[in-house]
Amino acid sequence: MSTREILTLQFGHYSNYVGAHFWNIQELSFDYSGTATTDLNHDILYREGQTSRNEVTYTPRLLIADLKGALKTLPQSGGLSDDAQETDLQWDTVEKIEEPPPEKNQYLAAIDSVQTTVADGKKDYNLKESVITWTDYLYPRFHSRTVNVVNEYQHGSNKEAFDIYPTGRGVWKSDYGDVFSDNIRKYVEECDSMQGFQINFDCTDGFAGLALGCIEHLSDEYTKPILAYPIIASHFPDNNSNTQEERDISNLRDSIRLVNILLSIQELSEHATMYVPLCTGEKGWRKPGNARTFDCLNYDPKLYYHSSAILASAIDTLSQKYRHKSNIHTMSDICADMTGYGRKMTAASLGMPIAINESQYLIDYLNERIQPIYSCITPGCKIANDKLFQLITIRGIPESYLKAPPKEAKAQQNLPAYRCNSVKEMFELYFQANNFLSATNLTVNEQPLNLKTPFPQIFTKNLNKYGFIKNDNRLEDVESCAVIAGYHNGTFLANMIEKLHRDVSRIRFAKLHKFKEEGLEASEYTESLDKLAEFKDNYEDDFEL
Amino acid sequence: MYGQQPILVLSQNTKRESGRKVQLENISAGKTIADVIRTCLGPQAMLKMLMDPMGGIVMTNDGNAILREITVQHPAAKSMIEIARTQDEEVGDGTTSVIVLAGEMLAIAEPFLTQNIHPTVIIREYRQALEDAIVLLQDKISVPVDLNDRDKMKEVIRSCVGTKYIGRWADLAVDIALDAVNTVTVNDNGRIEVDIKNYAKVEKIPGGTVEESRVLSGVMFNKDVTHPKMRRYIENPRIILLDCPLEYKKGESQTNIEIMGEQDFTKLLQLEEEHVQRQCEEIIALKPDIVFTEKGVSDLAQHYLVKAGITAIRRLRKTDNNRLARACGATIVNRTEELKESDVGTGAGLFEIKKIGDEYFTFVTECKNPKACTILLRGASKDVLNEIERNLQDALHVAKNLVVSPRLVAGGGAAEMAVSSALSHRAAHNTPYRAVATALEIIPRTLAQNCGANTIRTLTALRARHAAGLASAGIDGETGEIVDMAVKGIWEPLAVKLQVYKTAVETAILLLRIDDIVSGSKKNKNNEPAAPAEMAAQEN
Repeated sequence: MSTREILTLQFGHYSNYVGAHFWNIQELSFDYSGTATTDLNHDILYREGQTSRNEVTYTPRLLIADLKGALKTLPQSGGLSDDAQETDLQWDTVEKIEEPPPEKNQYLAAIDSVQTTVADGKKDYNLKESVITWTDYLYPRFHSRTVNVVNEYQHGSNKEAFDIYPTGRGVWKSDYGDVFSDNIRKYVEECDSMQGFQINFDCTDGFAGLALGCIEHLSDEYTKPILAYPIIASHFPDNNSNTQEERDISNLRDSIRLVNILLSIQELSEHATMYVPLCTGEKGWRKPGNARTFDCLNYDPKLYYHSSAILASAIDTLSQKYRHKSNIHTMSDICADMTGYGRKMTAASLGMPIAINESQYLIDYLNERIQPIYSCITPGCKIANDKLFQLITIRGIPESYLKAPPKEAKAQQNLPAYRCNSVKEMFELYFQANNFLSATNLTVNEQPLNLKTPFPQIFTKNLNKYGFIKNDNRLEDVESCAVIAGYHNGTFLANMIEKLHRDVSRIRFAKLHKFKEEGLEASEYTESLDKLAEFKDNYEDDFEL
Repeated sequence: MYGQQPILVLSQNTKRESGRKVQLENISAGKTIADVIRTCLGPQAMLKMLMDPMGGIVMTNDGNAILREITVQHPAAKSMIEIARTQDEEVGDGTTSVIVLAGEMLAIAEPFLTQNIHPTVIIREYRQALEDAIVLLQDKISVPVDLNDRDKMKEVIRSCVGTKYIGRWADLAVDIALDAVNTVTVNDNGRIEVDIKNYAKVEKIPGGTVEESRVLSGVMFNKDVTHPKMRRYIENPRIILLDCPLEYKKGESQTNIEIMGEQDFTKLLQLEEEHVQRQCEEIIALKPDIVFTEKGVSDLAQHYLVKAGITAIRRLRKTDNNRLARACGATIVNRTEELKESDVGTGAGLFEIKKIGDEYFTFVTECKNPKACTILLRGASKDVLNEIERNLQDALHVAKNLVVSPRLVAGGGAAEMAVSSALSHRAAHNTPYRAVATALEIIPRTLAQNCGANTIRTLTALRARHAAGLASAGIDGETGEIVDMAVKGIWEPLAVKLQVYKTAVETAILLLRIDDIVSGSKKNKNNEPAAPAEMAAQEN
């Protein structure tokens, strides 16, 4: 059984929030006891290595880009202790001026002190309040080439904002891009038979340009599939403006973000193999909009720490398909399945937790459920009910929840679904019945999503330990839950593209002179709009058959 | 009658102001905006340093560039800023003048309003005055210019450039502007087309000195060859332009291929390779030296091209490709099957890739009859380059305006004084018509003010000169003295002047016509745009 490796790239602050949760989920699901079995092949995402002191390391195949000052406690070397011993200076007159090292919060301090007990510790670290940046809850340690900081721009600075697409392109063209592509090359050369690249990036600021520069490079250099997740943060600090002046600024920034989104979506349609825009807000652009709601989840969209955990669970669940030990599906299969007719943009959905009552059977749950069992996490669109291509992954529903044994079945026996003998069969029937003219591919994984400590406690109180709705009021922390996630593609995405096109067309490019100064010509911008409109045609039914 | 119930028409949180108060407010808003950039008029103009809301810094004396950075609240002030933009888009120069003039037009309406003269009366007279001024400018005051007289043309552009930051390198800037416009001018059976925006591209490369800036007789862009073995220096190149990818194009719709034997798979790969090979052979058949494409070039295609000694450059921007096509006379082709000998561009004299600073730049220069060009700007820093580009754009526009309508008026406030004295003869004192005539004097007055001269004395003297019939007397913006503009050689294109007058007066009229401001903005808690007004406000 060979390992089909994946290299993950993360660009941008919010994407790193998502990434930090993603890697936490990976690392905390490792089993060191050797008793539990897992269907996932961790070698796909991780690599084994050795430090200069002959210690074995197991680090993610990952490259991260963020701005200077965003890392706080995470050293640029990735956090594995390195050997660089400080040479004793011979002079006594040296005056050492050092910036005080950033203070570590309780959680990080706990990781440092007792390496082994953190993972199962029940202690409440109050991360909700103390998380300032994504490294504050990051459990894994990285390889020394993983972290790549953009030194030209300061995180959170107003002076030199890294907020527009062409600046990012500029950074990619500079030495930064060279170093970054060298690092990619080094990772790729380690792989025996690589599956492809998985790229998460912020598509609202300069990182969009940086990421697209990189994606273009990848599609030129490597003939591997590129699965990209352009991510829009759940909230922007300037969203809640009170005075007129603040509102004007906020509008301007919204326009800038919108143009960045346009440019990324359009460029992705040329270079990526498949891409899935993600946002926990309903609208995505011009304010992320109302937060998407999930059953039994109670999260604060203003906290990146919360909303990014939701996206990370989705990405983790979706990726299980091509990280399976059996290697049945690879990334290129998935991309090929989903992107027929050149429909490279795909929507994603997530249902977390699958809120079955603990005494209820799946068959009844699906039977009684009227609304869909998942919510869309792609901004600005609503997943249609028919004419879909979909790939769905379901995890964590035990077979014992399937249906009542024949003796107690009673009314259940009248349902056609009673004949199904596995969770997979039942869901297949469910989707067949619900989605007209659709092609659905299901993957079922028995392991639930483990919710160990750095994962935020965003669940409502009425869930039991396994993430099912409990009948009584005993106090229990949710430790794992069942999740459903899926890629969906169909004509409904044309609406989203049209909405994007319409909103961007309303912006007068001449007013956004910053783009022009950074070298984006007005004609390029209109061309980009036109190309988006052309891309939309791929989603029209009339052109096919 | 019945006791009338008060009827609520407007929602309760609507703010409404009306009547005289609104007009006076609009006037003061307009004046405030004009005051902001008053000191930016003329050769002794001051620069403004602005922090934009996003934290960037802009240093400029370009009226439009200043105003677009300012966030204002008053609707009248917003429309003042809008006219600077219109002016910039329409003729590219005179943005400061138009704001100053519009502000003054509003200011002089104030006494009439306080005398309870109805706005429509004022407006009618304004309009009449504008029409007369236009006729005067077109027929009497302006003089025609010979487009082939390079020295005269230079003079005109120099007087535009002289007021700007780039003024120190005026000769250079003038030559650049004139050469660029001459290059891109297409005279098609009497229909003159000057498309600066698309065919004269300004490329800024930080570093070097301003003196190194020049107009290339061809184009340049930030690209390097795809394969290191390809030639980087070619004389008299034959150029092919494509907008299709040189790689195997996979089917858009979903295809499943069932392969039975190993040889079938080899066959499949072979077919893909053959496709690329065929494309390359079709190109090679025309014996080009360089192939430019807007899309990608696969490794295999690069291999064939290198073998045939052809240089390939990929991912050209559409706009660059268009310029290149005009510069070297090639035609952009989409299908390699349809390549013909006539599509090959042979107009270029030199293809060269140079490394400037840290980046590679492709130059296609020494073109025989280029109809497009690149203006290469060098300078100490990005900020300086941006300001120079703005100035140069103005100069380019002046040159373009001259080519399109070759008439001139005297600069330095002379034209304003001439129009003013002619208009004031036609009306009695204390009429709005007469006031328009007085308002025009704001341009020479501000010029005098900005170079530190005694405003009252200078202006009285200037008036006397004009009364004596010297219609080209104006203020030397450097010294504040009164000189004959025709002698000093300070000219402006008529098109700009006309546009300034029209825009300024029309704006004043528009603002005076307003007698009610209703702002029904909802204080929305959830930040969802609700009112259409707000949706409109978002469109920036």
